[in-house]
Amino acid sequence: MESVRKAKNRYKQYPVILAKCSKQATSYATCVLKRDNVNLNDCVAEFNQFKICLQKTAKALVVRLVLVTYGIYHDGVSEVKYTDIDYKVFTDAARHVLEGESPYDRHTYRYSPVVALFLIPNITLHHSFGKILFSVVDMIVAVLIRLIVKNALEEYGSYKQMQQEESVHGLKKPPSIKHRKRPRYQRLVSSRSEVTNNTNHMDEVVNISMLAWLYNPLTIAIGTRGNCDSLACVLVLLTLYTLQCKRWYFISGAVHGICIHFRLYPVIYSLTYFMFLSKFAYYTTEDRRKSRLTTKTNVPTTDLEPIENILAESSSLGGHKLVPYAGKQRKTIFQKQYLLYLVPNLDQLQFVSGCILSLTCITWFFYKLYGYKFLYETHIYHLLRKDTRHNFSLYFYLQYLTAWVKNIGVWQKVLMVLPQLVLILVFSVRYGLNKLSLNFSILAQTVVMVIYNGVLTSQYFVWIMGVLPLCLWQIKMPGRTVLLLLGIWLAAQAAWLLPAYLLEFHGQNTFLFIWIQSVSFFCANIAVLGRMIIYFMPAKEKV
Amino acid sequence: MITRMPLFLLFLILKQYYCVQADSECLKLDISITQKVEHEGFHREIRWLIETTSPPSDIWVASACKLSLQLKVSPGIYVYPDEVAELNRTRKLLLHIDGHVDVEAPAHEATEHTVYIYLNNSNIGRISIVLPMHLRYQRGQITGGYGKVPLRKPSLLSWCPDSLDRICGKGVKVEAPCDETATRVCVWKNLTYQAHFDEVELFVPVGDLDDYPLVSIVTLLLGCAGCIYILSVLSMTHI
Repeated sequence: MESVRKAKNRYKQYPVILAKCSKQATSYATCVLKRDNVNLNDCVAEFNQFKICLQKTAKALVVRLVLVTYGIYHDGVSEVKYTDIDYKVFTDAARHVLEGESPYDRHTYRYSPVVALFLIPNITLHHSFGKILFSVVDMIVAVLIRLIVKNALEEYGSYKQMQQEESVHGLKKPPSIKHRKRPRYQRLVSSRSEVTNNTNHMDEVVNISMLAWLYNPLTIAIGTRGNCDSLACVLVLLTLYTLQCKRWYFISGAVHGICIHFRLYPVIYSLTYFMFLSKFAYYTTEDRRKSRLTTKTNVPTTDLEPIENILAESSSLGGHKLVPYAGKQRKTIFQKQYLLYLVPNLDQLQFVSGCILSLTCITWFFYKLYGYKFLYETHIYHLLRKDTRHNFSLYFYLQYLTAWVKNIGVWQKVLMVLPQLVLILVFSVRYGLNKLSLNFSILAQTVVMVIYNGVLTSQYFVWIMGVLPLCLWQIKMPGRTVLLLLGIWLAAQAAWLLPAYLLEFHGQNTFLFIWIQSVSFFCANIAVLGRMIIYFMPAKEKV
Repeated sequence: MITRMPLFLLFLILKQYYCVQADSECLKLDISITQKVEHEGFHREIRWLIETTSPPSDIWVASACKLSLQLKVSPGIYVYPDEVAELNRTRKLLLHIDGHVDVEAPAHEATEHTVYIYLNNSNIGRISIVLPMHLRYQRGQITGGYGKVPLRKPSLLSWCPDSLDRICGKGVKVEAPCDETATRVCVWKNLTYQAHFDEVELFVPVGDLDDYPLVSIVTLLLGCAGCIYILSVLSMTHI
């Protein structure tokens, strides 16, 4: 009990520690950003302080290690295991690899062979090695979240600055992001006091984002139970990081390829990344419309008036966006010029070639090694997967009822896939073309994919939790709405658990009730997604 | 020739004597088994209590004979190979599964498999066994309700090092793995036992195909409605 109390005390102090050490990180970042050519010894002092800060941050690791230890104790005592079933599958697969066999000899191993390779120390060292590895990966995810959010904030700051200059100097064509190699935030901000003021606020936002991942009970529990989904998160975030912060398009594509190999689902992000690199990508729809208007030479200047009005209107509302399009602008779903978006530019070609190269290399390598079974278990199975056992999915009962009935039309399958396909496509284009909403695009697509998936268990929410912190600063939701949505969401999930428990452990026929609860859970999820979209606004007044 | 006659006779007599003695010395097994199925739902436990009134433990141990239970698991049920491996590793129960177990298959697509449970022979008087097993999902049917899965009676097998006749009584010869490692196949003798239980049927909830029209319409419409709602929300924003 003593150790528990100690751990609790330590736990309470974490936010404080993190808040304390964030200044050093910023000063380091500031130092790096100040210089265009960073030399090795330029920012040593700042870096050292940042290092200390990181060491402190890593204390969140302790919570996870405590839980891993607890897991060992719990598994030894209790019949209901703390450790995830999949973790056993990984360990067995690793044993097969160690013996020079295929990891796919292990029944139900449906992951990349890399997982089994990584977890070989599970057998040679200690069976909890994998859990510790996943916990460390959680820390890397946190660092990546930090870097990405910081970059996004800086980019947003520089955008705001530009907008202000624009309003002073009159209407100009907004520069497309292609010409900017580095965020110009620091250079653009003139007065020193403003810098410190903004950086303090920025630190706060960055830290909150990071804490949202580090101390999320779901991610802690799932990581320490030995689930490999945080590895998928780290790869997705690494793609975002190399794409947004570093602008290494080829490397980013390569990471994306690895990511798709590792878990199939990030393949849905491909179009977003592609659109992000498009030369048609701007900061806001306003910018795009402005640029469209200015490029058209025959447009009279009077037509520009309403747009100015909208800008004023939206900023006076504090960024609320339920502002209708004004004037003669006609809203169409599809215009012929949208097809131009698909013509690749050099950046996009780099990204695509990186992706194809890494994906084919890895797939070919493992195909040579383990044969068709690898291809089937890691990729094809997840496409054809039809899990008829009860789960959170809206489509569970429908799939179960029609699973072995022959005369079911194709229309059912089409109607199941179409809504999510449409939404993912719309999100990719709509948010992907906006430089400030790439992260939100990824989040929205992940949410759509998870809630429309044919199989849905709580571990799928880790995919959302990994990208949610990136957009926390952009989703300006009132506290009451957050609480209400969280309450509804948790209640819907809890309500589902009752009939599911009765079915699974008491053998009562509650299929219909489970279905009703899945329907309500789906509605709750859609409501949350809808609210997130409504309150998502890159056009905020203050960062 | 003549000198050899008494020798031959002696041999015959001795042989006769020996056989008679062997017959009288055969182990008479008096075994009764009680069965109980615990829990409800998809995860059950079969508990068997195997009681032997004769012979006493020490004689049984000296005979070096072995007992095992053979359970033919019907397609509606499966024994989870992982759990079996775990039980074997911890030596809580020595088991072998004969046949491929697809843990994800529904009842009508699954195949039978056979489980051999090797009984701890040192304490033959009273052996208690707990075997975890799982029910498979069944195909949806009209009017729903519950599907029945028969749980068969286990067979009791015995094997002795020198001869199967070491144990009294006649029984069908069965080929089965010698131990849980299943490296060799032995010929076992199927014994009779007193069963203090009836063959039971387990009930599995089954989806109701009568729900299909409602479920398909609501589910698919809701999926589309969710999509339309999100699109409408999206059209109101101006990012």
